[in-house]
Amino acid sequence: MTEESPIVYVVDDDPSVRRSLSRLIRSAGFRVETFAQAQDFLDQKENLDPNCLVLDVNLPGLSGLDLQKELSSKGYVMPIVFITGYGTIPMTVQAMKGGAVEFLEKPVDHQVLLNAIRQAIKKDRQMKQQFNEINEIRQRLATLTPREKEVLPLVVSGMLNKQIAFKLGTTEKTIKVHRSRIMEKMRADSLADLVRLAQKGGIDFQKSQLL
Amino acid sequence: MKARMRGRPSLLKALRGLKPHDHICLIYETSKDWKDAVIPFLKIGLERGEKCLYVVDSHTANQIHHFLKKEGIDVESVRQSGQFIILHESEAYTRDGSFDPDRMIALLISETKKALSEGYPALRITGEMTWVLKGHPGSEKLIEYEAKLNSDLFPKHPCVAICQYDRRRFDPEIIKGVILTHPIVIWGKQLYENIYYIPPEEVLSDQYAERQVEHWLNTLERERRTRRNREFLANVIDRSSQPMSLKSPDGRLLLFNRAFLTLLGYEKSELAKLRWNKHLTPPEWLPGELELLEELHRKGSPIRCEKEYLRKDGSRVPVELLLELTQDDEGKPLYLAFISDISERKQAEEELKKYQDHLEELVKERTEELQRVESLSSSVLASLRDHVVVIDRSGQIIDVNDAWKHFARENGDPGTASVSIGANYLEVCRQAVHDGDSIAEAGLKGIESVLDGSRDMFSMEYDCSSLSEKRWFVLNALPLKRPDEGAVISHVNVTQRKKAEEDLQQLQEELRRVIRIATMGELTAALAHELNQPLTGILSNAQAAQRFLSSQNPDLTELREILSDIVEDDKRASGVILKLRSLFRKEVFELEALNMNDVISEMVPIIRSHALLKNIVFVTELDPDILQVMGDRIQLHQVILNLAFNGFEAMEHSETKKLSIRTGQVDGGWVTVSIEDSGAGIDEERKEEIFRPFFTTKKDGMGIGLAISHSIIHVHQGRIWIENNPDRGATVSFILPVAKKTVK
Repeated sequence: MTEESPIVYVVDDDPSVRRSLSRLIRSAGFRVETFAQAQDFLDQKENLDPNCLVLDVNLPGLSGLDLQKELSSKGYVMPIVFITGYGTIPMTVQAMKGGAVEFLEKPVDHQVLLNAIRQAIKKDRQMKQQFNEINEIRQRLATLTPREKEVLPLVVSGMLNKQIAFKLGTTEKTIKVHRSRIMEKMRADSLADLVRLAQKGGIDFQKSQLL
Repeated sequence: MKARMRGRPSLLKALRGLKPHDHICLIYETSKDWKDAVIPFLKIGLERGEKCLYVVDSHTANQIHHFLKKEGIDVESVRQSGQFIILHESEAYTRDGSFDPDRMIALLISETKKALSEGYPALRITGEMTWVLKGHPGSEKLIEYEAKLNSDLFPKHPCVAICQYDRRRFDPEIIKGVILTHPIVIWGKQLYENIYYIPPEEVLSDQYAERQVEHWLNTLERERRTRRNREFLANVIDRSSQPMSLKSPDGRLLLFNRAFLTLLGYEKSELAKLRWNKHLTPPEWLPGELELLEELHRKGSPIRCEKEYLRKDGSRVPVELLLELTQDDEGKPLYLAFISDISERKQAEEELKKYQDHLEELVKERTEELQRVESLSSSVLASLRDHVVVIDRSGQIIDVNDAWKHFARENGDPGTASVSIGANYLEVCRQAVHDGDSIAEAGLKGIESVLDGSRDMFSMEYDCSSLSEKRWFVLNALPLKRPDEGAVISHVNVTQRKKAEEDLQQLQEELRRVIRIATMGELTAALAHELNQPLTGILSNAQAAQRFLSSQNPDLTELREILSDIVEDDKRASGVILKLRSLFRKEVFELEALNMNDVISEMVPIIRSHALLKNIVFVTELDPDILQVMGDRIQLHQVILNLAFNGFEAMEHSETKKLSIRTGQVDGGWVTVSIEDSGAGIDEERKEEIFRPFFTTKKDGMGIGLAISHSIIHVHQGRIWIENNPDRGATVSFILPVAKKTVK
């Protein structure tokens, strides 16, 4: 296997619905895991890394909408496809506002459901990729010395070495050394590249420019 | 308006009692005592229109004017009119530098006459006698003068006078003489009838001392008698059988006699410390008594009343009081009470009344009894609306009532028209049987069985409809309890009852249908959810199967499982639909032995779906050991659904939303079902009416759910009620009787 197929989690209280959805999703080549209650899923979430969550709205105890709220309040971002046996407009609005990918009525056609799941997985991938890139940049930023961290915002704000040296009370030559060390550590090809990395890494250079 | 007079009330009263011909001496030691006597004396005179003459010596005319003005006398006008004259003593007593009693008396007589001639009723004089101390010639004749006034002036002329003596300034010998020569003495705060007064001829006689001694001895005797009389009187009062008391407004008991003590059961020493208003009058009588005392003040005349006294032992004694208003020395009001113990009278009255009541009751009873006996036999029969016929043993009619006759006349029906007194009822029936009347046959058999004693009573409902109207009757036959035997037969028209029953049944049917329709709306959501679950299973399974089949190596085991799941889901869906249909079908009442746990379990999916949609926690606690009941499954389904939905409605605005259904067994003979919610609960006073049709607390409910449940449970010979839970919400419970031959 070159890459593991995406995993879809299904939460529904009806065993027959769980089984049938599980088969359908598996038939599209995804891995599936099912839960009968929202709370079971919540208890397990530390060990899970879902690419998509298929969630019944009307669950006994903690409802689907409750689970969505709970997850987002704890910072877990995952694409959710809601399914319901008896949905109302306010329910739909709440779910979509909470960032749901789709809100589908039971019984749901396989094309519709699988499309929604694929869309969710795509979204999940994008989110994860973005997350990984930022993570990488942050790791590079962590290798900078305190002085270099001081110099970086000034460099990316477009200041000349001379200006930076004057501002930090040192010589132009020293700054030149710092600059080349920063470029090296951040693995930046050009100043434009460095600016992009700094921006993604969350460096605030607007402020320093004004000084 | 008459200005209120200052001074001492008792003295004022005495001063008002003074009349022309009175000769008074005022012996005083303070200027207040002087003023309290002299100024009112003048004022009274002026108000009575008498001519007043004041002879000043130690005071000035201006002082006298001032005092009178303060009393509200218009001094200027009485002086101008000549009603009031002030003279200096030198213008009167010692006019020529010396004092002559005869001249002075002559002057007074002429002044009195002058006053009369001027139209005044009398002359009022008061004089300050201090001039005597000045030592004018003739002053030693003072006592002679005072004595002579008593014979020469006062008895003969309408003149009244106060002679003023300042005790601090006069020799006691002179004061002594003054006391002996004035029939009336004012001293301090009081006016006295002077017991030391000696008539003028004795004062002036040679044996003055002898006379005085004689007088004193007489006085001693008189005083002794007076005292004895007083003691006698006091004794009489004390020993009188009539209780008496003298009490003051502040509650003190000033005087009381033995009878009073006996009446109340106190010792003398105890009673002296008590207050009549606190200790003797019961609290509820006090306001009335105070009102009465006010009335006494207003009227002045004695008042009679009845009240109760509290005795020492706490018991009460009814009394009649005669209250009189009197005064103490100071003129403050006191109440004199003459008391009669009327407990015996009261008791007698009560007994008399009781006796009278009893007599009246007796008379009434006897009268009624008599009337009853007289009219019973005829009036009972006559007043019955049932058609009654009395037959003897052979079936011969002895008596019929008015209703019977009326009915026979109205109908012209051969079954009744031929049955009047003398005819044989049984024969008439037999004839009808012969004509093929099956109802008559059944009736005949029943009546005969009552006549021969094989049955205690016979009753039969029968259709007696004519062509134009529907009629229902009940025939009752009862044995006639008398030596000759026989029977009483009545035909009761029960058409109205019958109609009402039919109407009621129709109405209930109608109501049940309506509630089913009403329930339908609520059910739709729950059913949609319940149906969508198997439908989702079916669709997803089928589509998954299609996808598996289009793959290269379809897994047959998986496909088999899919198909079996689809079959199961399909059965589930049709089960839902079946249940739905049975709920809305209009079917008849079918009794079967049921386990209430099953009945509830069958409704659990629908209730659970509904609970899910409304975010309500739903639990069941079913006792597995309950016995079976006889009931109509569908109707009981309906009760469970109604009660559950009712509970849901009640929790619409509650924070906690929980509905529990429990079953249990009570007292061996009953199965109980309770539906508990966590809603708002119910007003205690509405616990009964909540089961009436169209009672509702919901804004869009019809108020028939509970009424229908009530009538269904009622038909099942059960009972349904509602109670508030200790914490929150209410519990509706019903009990159903256990089936006679029950299998667990």
